[in-house]
Amino acid sequence: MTASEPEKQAGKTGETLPVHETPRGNVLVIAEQIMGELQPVSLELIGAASILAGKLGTKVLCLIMGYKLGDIPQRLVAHGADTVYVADHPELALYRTLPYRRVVTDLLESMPEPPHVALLGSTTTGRDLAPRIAAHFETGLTADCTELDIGPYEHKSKIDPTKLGLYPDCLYAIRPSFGESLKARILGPWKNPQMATTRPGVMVPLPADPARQGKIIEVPVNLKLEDFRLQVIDVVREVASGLKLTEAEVIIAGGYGMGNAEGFNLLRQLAGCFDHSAIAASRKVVDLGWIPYEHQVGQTGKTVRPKLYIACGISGAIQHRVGMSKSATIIAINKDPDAPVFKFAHHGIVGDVYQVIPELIKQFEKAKQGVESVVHSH
Amino acid sequence: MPSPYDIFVLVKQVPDQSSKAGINPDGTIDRAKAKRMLNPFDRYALQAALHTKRTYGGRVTAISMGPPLAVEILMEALEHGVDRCVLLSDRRLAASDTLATAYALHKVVRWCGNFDMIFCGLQTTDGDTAQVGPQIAERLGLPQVTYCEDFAIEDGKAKARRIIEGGTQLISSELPLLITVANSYHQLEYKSFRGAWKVQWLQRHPEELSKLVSTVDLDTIGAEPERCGLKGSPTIVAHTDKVGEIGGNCKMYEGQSIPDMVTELIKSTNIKEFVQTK
Amino acid sequence: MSTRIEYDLLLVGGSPSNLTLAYRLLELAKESGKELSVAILEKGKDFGSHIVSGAVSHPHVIEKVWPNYKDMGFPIEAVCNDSNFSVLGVEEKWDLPHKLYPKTFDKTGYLVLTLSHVVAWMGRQLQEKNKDVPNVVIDLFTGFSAHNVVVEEGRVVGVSVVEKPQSDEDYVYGKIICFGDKGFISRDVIEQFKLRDCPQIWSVGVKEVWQCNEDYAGKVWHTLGYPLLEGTFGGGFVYGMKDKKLTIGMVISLDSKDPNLNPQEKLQEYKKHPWIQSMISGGKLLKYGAALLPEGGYYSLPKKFVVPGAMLLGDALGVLNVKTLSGIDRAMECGRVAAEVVHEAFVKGDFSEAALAPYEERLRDSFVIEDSYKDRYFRWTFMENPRLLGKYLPAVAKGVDAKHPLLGAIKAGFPNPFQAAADGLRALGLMEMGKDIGPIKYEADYKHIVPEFTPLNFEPTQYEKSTIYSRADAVFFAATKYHEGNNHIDEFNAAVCMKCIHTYDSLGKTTPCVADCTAEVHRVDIIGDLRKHGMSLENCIQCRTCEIVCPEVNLRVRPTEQGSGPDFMGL
Repeated sequence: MTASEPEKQAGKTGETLPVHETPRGNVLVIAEQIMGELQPVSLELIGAASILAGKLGTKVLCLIMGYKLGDIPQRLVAHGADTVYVADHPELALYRTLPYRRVVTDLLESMPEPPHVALLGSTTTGRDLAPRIAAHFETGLTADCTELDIGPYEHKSKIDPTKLGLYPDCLYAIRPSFGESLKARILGPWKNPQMATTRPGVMVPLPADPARQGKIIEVPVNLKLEDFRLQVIDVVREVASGLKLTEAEVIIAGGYGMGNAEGFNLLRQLAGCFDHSAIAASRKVVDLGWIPYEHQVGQTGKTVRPKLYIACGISGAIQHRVGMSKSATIIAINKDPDAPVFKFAHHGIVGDVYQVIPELIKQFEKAKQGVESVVHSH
Repeated sequence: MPSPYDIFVLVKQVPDQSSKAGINPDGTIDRAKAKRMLNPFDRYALQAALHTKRTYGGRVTAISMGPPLAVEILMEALEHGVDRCVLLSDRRLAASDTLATAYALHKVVRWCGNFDMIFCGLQTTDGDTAQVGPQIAERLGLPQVTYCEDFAIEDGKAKARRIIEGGTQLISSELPLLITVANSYHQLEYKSFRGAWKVQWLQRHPEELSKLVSTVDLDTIGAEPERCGLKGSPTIVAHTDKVGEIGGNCKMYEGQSIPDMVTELIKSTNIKEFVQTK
Repeated sequence: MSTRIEYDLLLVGGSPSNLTLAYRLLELAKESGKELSVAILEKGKDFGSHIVSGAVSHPHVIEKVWPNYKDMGFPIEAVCNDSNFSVLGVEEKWDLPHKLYPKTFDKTGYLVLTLSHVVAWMGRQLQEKNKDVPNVVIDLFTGFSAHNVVVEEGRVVGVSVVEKPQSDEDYVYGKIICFGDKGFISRDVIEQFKLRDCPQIWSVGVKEVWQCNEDYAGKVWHTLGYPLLEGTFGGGFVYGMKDKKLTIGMVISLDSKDPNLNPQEKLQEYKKHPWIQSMISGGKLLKYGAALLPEGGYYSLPKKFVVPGAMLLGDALGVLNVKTLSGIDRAMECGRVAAEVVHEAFVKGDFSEAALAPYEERLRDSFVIEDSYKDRYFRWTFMENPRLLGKYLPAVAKGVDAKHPLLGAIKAGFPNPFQAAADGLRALGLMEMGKDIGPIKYEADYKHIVPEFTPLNFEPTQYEKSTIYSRADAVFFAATKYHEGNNHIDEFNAAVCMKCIHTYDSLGKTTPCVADCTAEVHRVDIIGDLRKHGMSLENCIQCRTCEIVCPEVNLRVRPTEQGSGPDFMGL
């Protein structure tokens, strides 16, 4: 059922819709640390939360869970949290769904009013925890948002008359719609907290202000026996092979147009020409198994914003675009002049990647030798 | 010999986005015309379920929710070797968001009886939320392993490896348990000829087929219609926008020789600033 | 213990021959009420996904099997209303006056077809018809191919459906088994029963489908000359289809002297011709594919069409007629005839070789083998006299470029007019006048390769670069998809490959497998000091050219599993 039909009916009868003025609640960020290391996405979420709270005229709350958290709460304040709830407990040292879920639900249930909005990172942790919280409170959750905002919404559909009305302060959770060059605004104003997750790298953190004041509140941790059904035996940190994608200055990305897994060797060669470079890939080639998941950029992969992004044989579907469109310079190499990638790249070469990339490498080498020969002449 | 395990696997039929059929010019999908397929992520879940059955013994039940045509993917699951299938199909489920979907699915799971583990794909290719699995676990009060890339049973407990940022976690969990399987898990094995043969035979013998494949509606499983579909969904898609052309003024290099285009590109960008000088 | 999976009739290959057989059998069984079970194995993921053909075909057999085919949604791309036979120079084209070429090249009234769509249609018709004939069970196994033939006590009784069968689960059996494949598995039957003295010889067909700006529906060209001006037997074809689509293809014999004849590249050269450029510039490539054509004709036919338990149809038999450029109707006629024989056998309950023998008798009495006999020397004519394609044709082509095609022909004969006249008479006699020189025996294609042979290169200079695709890029348009762990080409002896690579390296060439591959599969890997043969199997479009041209007979292309391979739908 589409919304347009009831909309017309409402218009015909000229009814005025009830206005649901609810007290404006705070904006909660559930921050994340791994082995005592605060994850950058948490600061980005606080940055986004500050904007939302500013529009609502309310406060930014932040919950951090872990063990021996040190100065993390202060840092969260410095980056914009007004109140930081701290759950510091040995059983929270490593992330586990059930104990973390317990702390979050206990905290929210202890509040006289639930927060207006609750935000988590679209990380393996956030995507594990957020749906459990949303299901527990039977509230809406939108995954992998690329934009967040607060605004009014008129619900005119009469399918459920209890939902009818004007909601002045909804969370606009905006995300690309699947397989399409569309973005959808998803709303759930009927129940608080209105929840959303965003990918690391999407939102912008506030600069740290060490002088900033905020409340830091210890949260009681009351775990139950059933919360220990699952135990973490070990954590294996991968020795970073090469530079992390999200930290690279230059990213060489390959898509289906590379033809096969071996094609990525050519990209690695090109990446070798640059300092601080990394290899990325579109989802399609990750699905095909040409390259591991950690290289995937896009809606279901990582979000990156390097200084230089060279997209090779990537058509430029929306899912990929949302993960890299904020790169400072985007160069696209694609055989198909109609490829969508040329609509948002800054520079586009229409040509076979297997001809263009070797030529690029050749000209870089030549330039390098040029520099050397000048040096030698001294 | 431990008692055989009751293994559930949740699967979904999604539009095949690699096929151009049913893709409208504006980018939306006409689901009636689009080619349909088993959600690619669910192939890993199916493999995990079948592997668990083959290694430790047990019975695999494939559960899906969708229109009647979704029975196609259950037939595919049968060909691969699952033992029974349940399709939840009900018009009142239309426009369910993840929460309403999870509600309905947890009701089917309950209706299907006891289980030791539920495998799900990490996410679907048409929703990309990765929410339904954990939300079912919450409603069933289960521990969960998301992003699972290895799974075994030792001494009656699940041992699994899951992906976390920058590494992996090894976990041990009591059963029952819900697992969402990452695409770094093993690929789905081939369907056997006998599996394909059996399904063709079953399709000619509806009375036998109905013993293995049941279609249920909300009333059968005792789900409250108010908590399903549009009514049961706390979120709605209020508005869609065509994504504006970002950039939009791409400098194009075409029609010249490759070396010329590359030279010009290097000249007109700051690309050289990043090139290694040593 | 599981029991054998056995059907009355097992059809190997979802080919036009086997699908015609199955459909006709349904009709016969509907009349007789005979209960039958039939299984069809098709290695592609769908019916039609592994089939590629020209195709211009006369609908006479289609009409016999589906009299109302036009009202049944039978997919027709166009009806030929403008048939041309042309000689290409490097820059010019000369359409021969109709009187100057054999009538068999006139395709007016023939159907232009997309064979993959036709096969998919036949599959659907079969399922529809089956609803009407409850006494017949038809099981369709797409994504499953026959890998090994099972012979028990001298009788073909079944096939394995995986490469390495482990249990009874991996076999399927049939009281009668019909092979309608392109040789992937029927070659094993032919070898095991020693059915062939004279080898089959092959051509490879490469084809692209283009979206054009103009409508060429109904126009058909068959061309000789450019870009095959070095003596290789073959030619080009361009067929106009509905919706402004155009088929552009080449058929190139694999008995070429040239060890480095890349069919995909030849097709690109063909497309550079100004005449084709004028049609495709500004257009869009939609699909690319390749397949082998059995060209030997009459003398390459197996000694028997039937062995105990099995029958050979279509390309498995080798009924394609190169002279009339027709194979589809012949394959379908095989199926039509086989259906009757198979039905009689089941009604009588007699599946002996003798009971199936009428298949061969009836086929030999039909146009299928009669035409094949009539045109039995067509290929031989060009083989026995290399001057026809190596000298006269290039001269005519030169004349075409000079806008004096006939003068070119005369000039070609001028240095030795007596020989030219004798050559002409001999060729005419063999091809058209029914001259009999007794049985002939071909040599296998790879034996024709002359490692040192280097052809002259001619190329038009003006063409739109965006219309030309490298082989690696072309594969993209064949939409290959392979399952993990696929390994469907055997290299029997790595040392033999290394030696072959060395031979060709020293001549400044590459090996025939690398050069002639239609899909960027074979490569030379440099590992330390060694140069080894390597393969990118995920690119393979399963044409089997490498197997045929390997000078050492060191490669073998096996059927794939799980429907892996190209997606030729639309070719």
